[in-house]
Amino acid sequence: MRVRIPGLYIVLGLVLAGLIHIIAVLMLPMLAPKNAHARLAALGPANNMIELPAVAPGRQVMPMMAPDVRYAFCRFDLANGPVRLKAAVPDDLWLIALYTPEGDNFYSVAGADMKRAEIDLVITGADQTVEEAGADAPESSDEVVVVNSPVTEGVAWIGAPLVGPSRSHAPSRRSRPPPAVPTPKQAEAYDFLRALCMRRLDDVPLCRGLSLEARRSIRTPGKMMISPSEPCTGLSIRLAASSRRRNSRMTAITKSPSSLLPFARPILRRG
Amino acid sequence: MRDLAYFIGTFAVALLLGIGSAWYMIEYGSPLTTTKVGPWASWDSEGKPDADPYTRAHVARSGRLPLSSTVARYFVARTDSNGHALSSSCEYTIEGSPLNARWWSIAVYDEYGGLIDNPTSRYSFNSEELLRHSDGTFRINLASTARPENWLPSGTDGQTLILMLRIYSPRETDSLGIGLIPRERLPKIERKSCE
Repeated sequence: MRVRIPGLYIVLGLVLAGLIHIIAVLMLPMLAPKNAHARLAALGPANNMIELPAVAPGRQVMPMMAPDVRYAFCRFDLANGPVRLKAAVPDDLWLIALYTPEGDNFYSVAGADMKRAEIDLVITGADQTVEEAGADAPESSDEVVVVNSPVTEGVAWIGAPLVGPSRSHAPSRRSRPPPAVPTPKQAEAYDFLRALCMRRLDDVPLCRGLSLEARRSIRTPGKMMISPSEPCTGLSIRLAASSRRRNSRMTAITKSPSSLLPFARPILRRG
Repeated sequence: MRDLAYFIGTFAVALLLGIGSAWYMIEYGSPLTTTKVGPWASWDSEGKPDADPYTRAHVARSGRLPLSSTVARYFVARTDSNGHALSSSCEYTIEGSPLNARWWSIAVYDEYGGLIDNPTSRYSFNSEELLRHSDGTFRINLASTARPENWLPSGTDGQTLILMLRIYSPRETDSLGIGLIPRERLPKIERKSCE
């Protein structure tokens, strides 16, 4: 009888160890106090583009950052609406990546794949749509890439690998052979000032009486509950809903409340 | 009384085993999650939203923001090709051939992932700037004092070193879209001499 007890405890110990192992592995991403998102949150407010200085000893936001890549990031918060990211992309090597706070890279695009010098990216939450207020012509909305984010808060990240020497951030007063002087192309690549990250719902003209709830439900015509308290006239709302990645881009244009209310399929056209 | 002692003992051992094995598999990986080629190790699903729990835990613990392995691959070496830990008190040569990717870079860090201060402010070599031989191969000299060709300074403090090879947009991918780097293409790290 006595002999069997330790055996039982060994089995119990192994089962317990397995359970603890699983719990530890699953909990760690949520508990890691110094994950990248937490480090970046300390640098500035959300929905602002922040450019990181060239990485140098003792001046690293995260461990193992590439010394020959320049970084800028925008911590996006979709709680109050979609966020737009605009950046001039002067180089094929540039990468734009979107992350969840846990570090899942749920979207990325390289400069070479964009086929244009500027990226205009709108990050939307699960139940948000994008109203294109700034662009007039329907064609221009083709320039906007809409990415559905699985999370309300996350990080948009721009990485610009250097084309030239990785020590190019060294003070220029040192006399260096020609390669150490940034080429015009490189100098441009360091310039993040044209990268913008902003919350965009605020600057979208709202039709009076048309609530945000209704605007959201426009995307799913079956669930529409629009009850404008007063008629909206001359309204023009353009939607560029859903993600380009899934090739299910839709554009809808409405001109009057009567056409808005049924929000019928005929005015939804695939682009 | 004896049962209680057994129970507490079992629990303590289970805690040690569970946490210890989790820590090891998160920190160093396992054949399930990592590819090991000589001294180089790479997490196959790093950064991917559908990554396994070990990879996710590894990324969260590392404090890094890796690009998805479909866009970039990261290879980390803590030892030379013979398995000896990298140290700045030794001198190494890193020899390899060009990688089939849009851009790649080899950087050296201390054991905490920090860059190592040096008079030339050189922390890495990338595919655009590396001096190469006529056949496209290259050699990087990892040493604490100046060397000809590509000199990657390793500092003078006798610290442990980590090398990271990052490869952006590999041109070959597997069926899951994960970037493929042929094993024989990864650089060899040879120890030359030690102080």
